[in-house]
Amino acid sequence: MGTPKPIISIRDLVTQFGTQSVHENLNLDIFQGEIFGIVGGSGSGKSVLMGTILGLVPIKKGVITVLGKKVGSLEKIMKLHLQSHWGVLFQGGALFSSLTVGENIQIPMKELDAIPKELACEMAFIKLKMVGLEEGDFYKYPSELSGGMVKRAALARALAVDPEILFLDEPTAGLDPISAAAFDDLILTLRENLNLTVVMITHDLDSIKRLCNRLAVLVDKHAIVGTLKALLNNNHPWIHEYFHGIRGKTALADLME
Amino acid sequence: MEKMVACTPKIEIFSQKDTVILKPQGSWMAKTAKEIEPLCADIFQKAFPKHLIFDLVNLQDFDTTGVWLLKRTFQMLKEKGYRLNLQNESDTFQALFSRLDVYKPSYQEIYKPHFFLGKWLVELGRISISLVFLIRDLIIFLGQVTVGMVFTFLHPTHVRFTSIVAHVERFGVNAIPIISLMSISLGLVLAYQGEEQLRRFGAEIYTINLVSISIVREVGILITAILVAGRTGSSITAQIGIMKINQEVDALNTLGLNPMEVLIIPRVLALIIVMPLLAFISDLAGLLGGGIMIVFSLDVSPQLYIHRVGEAVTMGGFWVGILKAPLFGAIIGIVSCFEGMRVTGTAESVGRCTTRSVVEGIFFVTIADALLSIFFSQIGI
Repeated sequence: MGTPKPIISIRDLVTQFGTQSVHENLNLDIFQGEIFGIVGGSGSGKSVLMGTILGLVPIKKGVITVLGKKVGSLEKIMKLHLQSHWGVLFQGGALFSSLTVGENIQIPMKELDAIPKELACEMAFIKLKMVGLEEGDFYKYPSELSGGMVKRAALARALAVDPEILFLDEPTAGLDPISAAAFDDLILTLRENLNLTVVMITHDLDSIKRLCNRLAVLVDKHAIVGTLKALLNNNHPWIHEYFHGIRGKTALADLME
Repeated sequence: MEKMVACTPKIEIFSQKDTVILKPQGSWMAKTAKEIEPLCADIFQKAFPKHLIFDLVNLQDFDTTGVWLLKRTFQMLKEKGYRLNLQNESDTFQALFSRLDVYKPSYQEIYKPHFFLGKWLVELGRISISLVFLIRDLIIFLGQVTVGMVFTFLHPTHVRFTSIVAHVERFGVNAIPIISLMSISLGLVLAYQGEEQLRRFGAEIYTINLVSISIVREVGILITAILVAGRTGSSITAQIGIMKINQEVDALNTLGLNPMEVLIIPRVLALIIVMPLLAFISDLAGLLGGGIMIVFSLDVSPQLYIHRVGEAVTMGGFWVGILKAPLFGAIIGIVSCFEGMRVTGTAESVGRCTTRSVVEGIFFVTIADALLSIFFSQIGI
């Protein structure tokens, strides 16, 4: 990949809630076109890290640059119009429950105010099919969908205006293995077709193995970044336990000798 | 970051003998869709020979929207009998272009015909049926609560005293300030208006009778019921509704705890206990408010006011007001718990059920009050 310019870069990030600090001097670079995984134990601040990048969580100290622009608070991000350059898939889907799936997908398009109404409708159908839903689901409400379908519909909304960066918060959590594998496939295809950069929080070792080009492991309030192979040889006790525990061994057996 | 700068899309047209080469330029993206659509529409206006070539050599940027617009134009031209070719397309474009064959929407689905009157009739039918079901469900729920109550009284160990006391505090004690304030101001208004009208007959001293009887018999309890329906009824519905969404109600069931016993009966009982007390406070506050106005504007001494109130209000009149209170409490409690249990899945449904809970609560209280008024006047109290 050479040394391309990072699409997201985090420098000396400090986040705190009251007196409890979550990150201390955390550094991270994410490059164009890669699928970047964020892993860590419960409470290690994975979701908080994503929140800081998205401007949902205030930053105590440090600099986060996304697409060459410095982000801080959400208001600032709205001013920078970054929201049309990224799509976010929240853990529970976060579809607006009072709107149909089709209307949900069209929200980012309406916000962009550049797509004529009928075209937006067609595009919403296209995105719906792209994520593997049926056309009939267009008029359904989120409460009528199963968990996996909600995730797909939310992904369609995240992809509505072809973002450059896609954030996924535990995309395969709560899905059965078949749906989870299908979801992984979907993300790979979309990455190829749409030239996406994907940032995903995940616990799913299979997803990590299949998708992620590089990983950041959040331990001791820092991020340890590397490829999966490199991290397998890391000596940090938590990382060792994570990849070499019973589950890790089963999932990653073929990568270890 | 060239991508940030969106170049205006254009289509350059070069004519050769029997073919026309169309060269799309600039960025064909969602952001520029408004400008692309007329460009595509323009192509149809022009008379071209039957062979067209799309040369993408100058196409700068594209996303799904842009590619779809090209694809759509392509299809429409094909249907008109044109022969089409793509030239110099990049691999990513080709991939997306052919993928859209799979993803393209079917127009029957998008533009489903809507029959206006039919839709209206369907909606009317749906509302009627849901109204019938609502009443049926409410009656069933009333039965369940009654059975639950009887069961609890027969097995006093199942009474959740802690829960009831906590609810009495939240529904009752915490509501005293607002209810007193409302009743005082209502008393003031009633006395002021009554006095103005009665003065014309020289009967202004009867303002005392008007104020005290109306407050004690009707106004005090009604204003209490309306406030409790708004304040407590809505909070019960929202709380039980969210508990249902979070599957807390299911959790209770699986733990062998009956939601009826744990959630609903304590609330209904607490409201039944609290309502007469609140009505009594509301009566006192209303009389106080009326008294303030009368003492100041009629030049009546406080002692005389109290004395006249004692003469006007009979014990029967007082009990008419207070005896209605537990009934109204039960109505509000049952309706709000019922609506809470009807919440399904979505945030919107919490809002809808909470609104309905307050509206139905006040509606049924008013109906019950009207019926009871007729009843009490028939038996001569």
